[in-house]
Amino acid sequence: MKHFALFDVLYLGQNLETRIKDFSLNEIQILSYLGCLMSIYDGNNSSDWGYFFSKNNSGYPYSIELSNAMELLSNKKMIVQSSKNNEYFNTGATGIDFIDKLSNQLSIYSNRKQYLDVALNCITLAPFGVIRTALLNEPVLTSAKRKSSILLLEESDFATNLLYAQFQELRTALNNEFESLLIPAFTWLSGNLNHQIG
Amino acid sequence: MFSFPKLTSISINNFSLYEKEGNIELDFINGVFCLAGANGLGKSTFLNLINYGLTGIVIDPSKDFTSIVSTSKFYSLNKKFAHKYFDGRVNEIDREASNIRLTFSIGDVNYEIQRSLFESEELTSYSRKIDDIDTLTNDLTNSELFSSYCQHITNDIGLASFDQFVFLQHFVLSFDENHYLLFWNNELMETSLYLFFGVDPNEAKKANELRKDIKRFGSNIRNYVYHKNKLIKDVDNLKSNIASESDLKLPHGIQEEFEELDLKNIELDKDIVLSKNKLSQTNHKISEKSYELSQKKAEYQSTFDNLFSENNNNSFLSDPRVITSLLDLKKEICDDKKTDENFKIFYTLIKDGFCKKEVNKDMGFDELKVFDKAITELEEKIKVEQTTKFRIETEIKISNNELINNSSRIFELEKEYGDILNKLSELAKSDYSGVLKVYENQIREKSAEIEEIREEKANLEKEFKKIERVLNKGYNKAEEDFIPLFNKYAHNFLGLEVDLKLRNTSKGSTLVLIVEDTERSDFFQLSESQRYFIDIALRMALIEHSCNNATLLVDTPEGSLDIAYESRAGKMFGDFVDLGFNLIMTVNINTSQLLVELANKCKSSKMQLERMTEWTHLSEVQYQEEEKIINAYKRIEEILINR
Repeated sequence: MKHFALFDVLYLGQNLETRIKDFSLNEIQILSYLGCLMSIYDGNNSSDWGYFFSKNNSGYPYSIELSNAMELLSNKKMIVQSSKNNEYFNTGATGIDFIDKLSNQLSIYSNRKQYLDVALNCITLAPFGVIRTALLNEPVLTSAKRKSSILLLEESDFATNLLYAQFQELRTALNNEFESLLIPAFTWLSGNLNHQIG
Repeated sequence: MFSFPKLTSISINNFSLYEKEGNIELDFINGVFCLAGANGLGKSTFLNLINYGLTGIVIDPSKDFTSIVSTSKFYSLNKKFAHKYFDGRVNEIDREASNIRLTFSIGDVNYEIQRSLFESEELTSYSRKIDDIDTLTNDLTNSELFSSYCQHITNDIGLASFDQFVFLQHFVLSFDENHYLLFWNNELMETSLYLFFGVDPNEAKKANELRKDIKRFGSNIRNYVYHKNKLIKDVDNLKSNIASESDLKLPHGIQEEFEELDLKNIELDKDIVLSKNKLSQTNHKISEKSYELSQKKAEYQSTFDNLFSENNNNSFLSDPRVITSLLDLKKEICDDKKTDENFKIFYTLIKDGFCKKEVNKDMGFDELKVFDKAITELEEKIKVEQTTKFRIETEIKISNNELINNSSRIFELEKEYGDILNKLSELAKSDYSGVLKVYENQIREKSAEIEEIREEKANLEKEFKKIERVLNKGYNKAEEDFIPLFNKYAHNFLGLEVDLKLRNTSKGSTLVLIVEDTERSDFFQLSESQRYFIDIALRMALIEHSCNNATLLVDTPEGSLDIAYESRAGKMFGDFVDLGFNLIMTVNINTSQLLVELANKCKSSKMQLERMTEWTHLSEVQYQEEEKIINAYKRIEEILINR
């Protein structure tokens, strides 16, 4: 179990809860992948994220580390199933206490929080389904759909190069003017969506 | 989509090597034409004749495409070789009359060409008909006929230049005796990718020329730097000779300036050496701290894991206290003694030591805080060292510039007081100053040239990147259709999961082969026969993906194939032919299952077997075993006619 994955589940989970009442593993997977892409946009390597993503059977990004973290947190009652159905969770009291400590008393997570926050803010600007569809049109996931290999964001893959090129173009177009990553993020997601509609 | 020539007939006249048959006249059926023979009869020559007929060249093995890179240069460098190649295969008496005639179609255009084996840039006859109507004007000379043919065939195929056709015909549409492999030759693969994946043929040509120029500039820069360094060394030697051979002094003031500059340069040299030492120490510190950081991160992870760890039975069962206690109990039970006391001890041991307890999260968390603090501090230290590193690098750069400025002032002084140097040189009985000036000028010129070439190279690379992006986009679009096509052929042959990945590197773009989730980019990662057939599979997939029609030429592919793969290879060829593409192959007539499987799949409607042993005289050994050879032919011919 990677501690970054466990942090991401609790941090995203708790923040999703304040926005949309509860959260699911699928939502966590999509938002942490978006967070990872934001970290790459900001100049970090994909391996700096702390765990890897692959594609699942439906072509969406998936990390076994996040899935393991969810299971562990559920066993420890740090997250509990919501009344809605089995797939949805709420953060338990021990979970709230733990993420509060990790988030506020340790420095190791301060960088990734800004990327996860961007991902979370995106779903206040557009419905989750729209964000997910937009992500499916990004070059790495588009290319992964057609491959048998499942690892995403490998450094030498041409699709990762295409993604880097897209991010470079976006940085140039926005002239590096925005301090917050939210505007580049949302512009990029909208671009992917328009690409699909067009 | 490209349309490549679909061969319909061949006629080889006055070709001395095939002496028994006289002139060879063959019609090709739709499907497989298989020229079956024995060693040394001229099977490879037959395929080279076809390629010569179509392109006017036979590949000179010493003109390797890897070092040439450009398709146009490759074509022009290989034009002369056919002459030498046919010299040993055609007798003097047949030389004038020897020629080859080919008929073929490209879409609905029918071609008929004839050329001498010793005039590669001429055609002795040429017709191009659409619906039986000839499209050519009369009264053209033989070389005009050839130019006209080059232009027509390039347009009809859908390419930008005849040299592109020459490249594709020899390296993609042929698997010849040289066994050039696309997967393990970056230059061949990249040139093919640009032509097959959505890049306009004109742009593909531009990419190919740019790649050639970038490679050339890279090698020029290396040469120039080598020469410049050599010149600098020569100047140093010359100067030390002058100094040692004279004790003349320069005029007042100049001497001091010289000495001052010289001293400064010595100091600067020392400073640079010191700074370089500091830089290496800083680099050492960075790597030390980075290692420490990775350890702290691992310890952080392990402490984090402990916060969530479960009690596990293995640690209980292997605990020495548990074992001792159990043995005590066992002894008491066996000796019929009272067990109350020892049982109580055992109970307490389990209760205190091994029963699940609420983890003291606060204690674990405090430990996490310690590691977190250490990680933050280490990251901070690394950041500081990196700032130091940047500062030292800047200092070295400044000192280097000062060194260059001082040297150029010394150079100016030398120029101004050249007469002294002349005297010095008179003393030394050599014109050192003149030689020095020539050297210094050469060094300056070389430096300027190097900068100029670097700039030009950078501009070319920028331009190349633009076309590379078009390739990436084109491949991205085509990948969905292309990978399954390749998979179909390759999986049928290998029986393993295969995948492809387009990779952009500074050396060029290439397709990387992945077998069972492992990259096979080094040639030794597959056996020879696996490499050959995977490469043929790639060509078939490229043809199926991007061509309306084509004829693939394959030279004795079964050579290194083991028995397990023979019938799979036959099936792979059969699948290709089933799609309407043509295959002309040469094989050794033997007991191989490849021919049997192919004959079974195609039957006589789609496969034609030509006995090559009737074309030329056999060796003594072959003659003694002729019956076996005839029986092998009969076996395949029977399979072809049996329903």
